[in-house]
Amino acid sequence: LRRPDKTAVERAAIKAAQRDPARFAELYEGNFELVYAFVSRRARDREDAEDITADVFHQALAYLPRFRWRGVPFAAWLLKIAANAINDNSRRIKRDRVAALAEPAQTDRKELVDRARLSRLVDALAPNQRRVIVMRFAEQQSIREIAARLGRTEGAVKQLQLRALKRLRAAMDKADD
Amino acid sequence: MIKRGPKAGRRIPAPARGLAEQLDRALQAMLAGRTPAPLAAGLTPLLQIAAGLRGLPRAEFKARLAAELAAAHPSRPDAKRRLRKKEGGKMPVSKGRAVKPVAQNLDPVMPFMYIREPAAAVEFYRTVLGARVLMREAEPGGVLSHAQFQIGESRFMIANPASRHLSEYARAGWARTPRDLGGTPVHLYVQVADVDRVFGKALAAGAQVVHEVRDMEWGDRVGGFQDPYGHVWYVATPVRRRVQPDN
Repeated sequence: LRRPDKTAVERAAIKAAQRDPARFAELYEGNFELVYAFVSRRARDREDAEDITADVFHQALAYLPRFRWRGVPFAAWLLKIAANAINDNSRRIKRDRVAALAEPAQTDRKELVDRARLSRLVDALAPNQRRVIVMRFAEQQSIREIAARLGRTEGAVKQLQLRALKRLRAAMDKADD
Repeated sequence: MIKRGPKAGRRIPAPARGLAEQLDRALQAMLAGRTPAPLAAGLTPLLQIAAGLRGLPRAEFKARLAAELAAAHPSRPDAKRRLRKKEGGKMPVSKGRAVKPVAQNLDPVMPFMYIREPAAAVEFYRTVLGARVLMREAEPGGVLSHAQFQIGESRFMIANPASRHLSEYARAGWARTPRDLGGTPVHLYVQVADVDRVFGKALAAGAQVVHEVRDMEWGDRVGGFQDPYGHVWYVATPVRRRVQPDN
C-alpha cells in the first residue's frame, strides 16, 4: 500500500467541496488552525481575529467554485484571502493599512505551521491540563478565575499549567524530529 | 490579573519560589506585554511554547463557525446576509461577518424546564447546585411563574405550567412536568468542584438516587439524582486523565 499523496488528497477534497458545499467541512477542519494563527498575529484582539477568520472562511466557501488548481496549496489561497480580509478590516477601522501582507513571507511559514500544530496538540492534553491552557490562553482568564471555575487552588492550577506546557514542549520536539 | 510595578519584570526570582510560580509570573509579564524576569533553566523553552499559545482559538468559536458554514449555502446568496448580525455599532459590518451570540461568554444552549413548585425549586437549585438566581418573575397573585439561573457560564430556566401566561401552552400539552409525564427523557450533566458534597446535599434536600457517586471511565467522578420535581441531574468532577480507547 502506498501512502496517499497529500496534494492528491487535498485536490480530491477541493473537488468534492466544489461539487457539494457540505464537503467544505473537511477543508475547514484541515485549515482552521493555520488561518486563525495567521489572522490572530495581525488582529487587534481576539474578537477581531474571530471576525476576520469567519470572513475568510465565508469568502472561501463562496468563491470555491472559481478555485482552479495551479499547484499552489489550498492553504496559500486561504492565506491570500486572509491577507485581503486583514487589509480590508484595517481600512474599515481607519487605521494604517497593513503593509506587505499579500502573502506571508517564507520565514513566517514555519512559525505559522508550528502555531497551528501547537493548537492541535492542545486538544490531545489530559482534560484538566487542556482546560487550564484553554482558559488561560484562548479565554484569557487569570489564574484566580481559572482556580475558581475548576474548584482548585491557584497553586494547583499553576502546577497544571506547568505540566501542560512541558507536555506541549515535548510533543512539539517530537514532531520536529 | 496581579498588578506589578514597572521594575518588577527585572527582579530575580527568589530561590525558594517554585517552578510553577516562576513560570506563571513570567507568563503574566508576557501576556501583559512586559519583559519576563530571568527564568530558571528549563523554563525558557516553556515560555516559548506559551508565546505560541497566545491567540489560541476558542473551541466554541471553531464549532460555531463550522455550523455557520454548514448553514450558508453558496447557491443561496442571501444566506450569508441572513447570518450576519450587526453589533451595536462597535465595528462596521462587512460581507460574511460572523454571527455573534448575544452574550459571548455564555454557553448558547439553555435548558428550559417545567416545574409545579418553582419557589421550592429555586431554593433547591440555589443551595444544592450553587446556582445563581438571575431572575424571578411572579404573577399578580404572588405565584412564581418563571426563574432563571446561572452555573458557571451556563444558564437554565424554569417555568410554572400553572401560571396564567402559560395557560394556552398547558392546554396544548406543551408545558408538562416530569411528574405529569411519569419521567423525563432529558438529563442534565453539570460539572461541579466536589461531586460528593453536592450529591450529599441533593439527597439531604429530598433528591432520589439515580446513580451512586463513582469514578467513570471517561475521567469524571459522577453521581446522578432525580430532584424533588422529577428532573434528573448528573453532577461530575474531573478526577483523572481520560482513558483512550486505543491504549
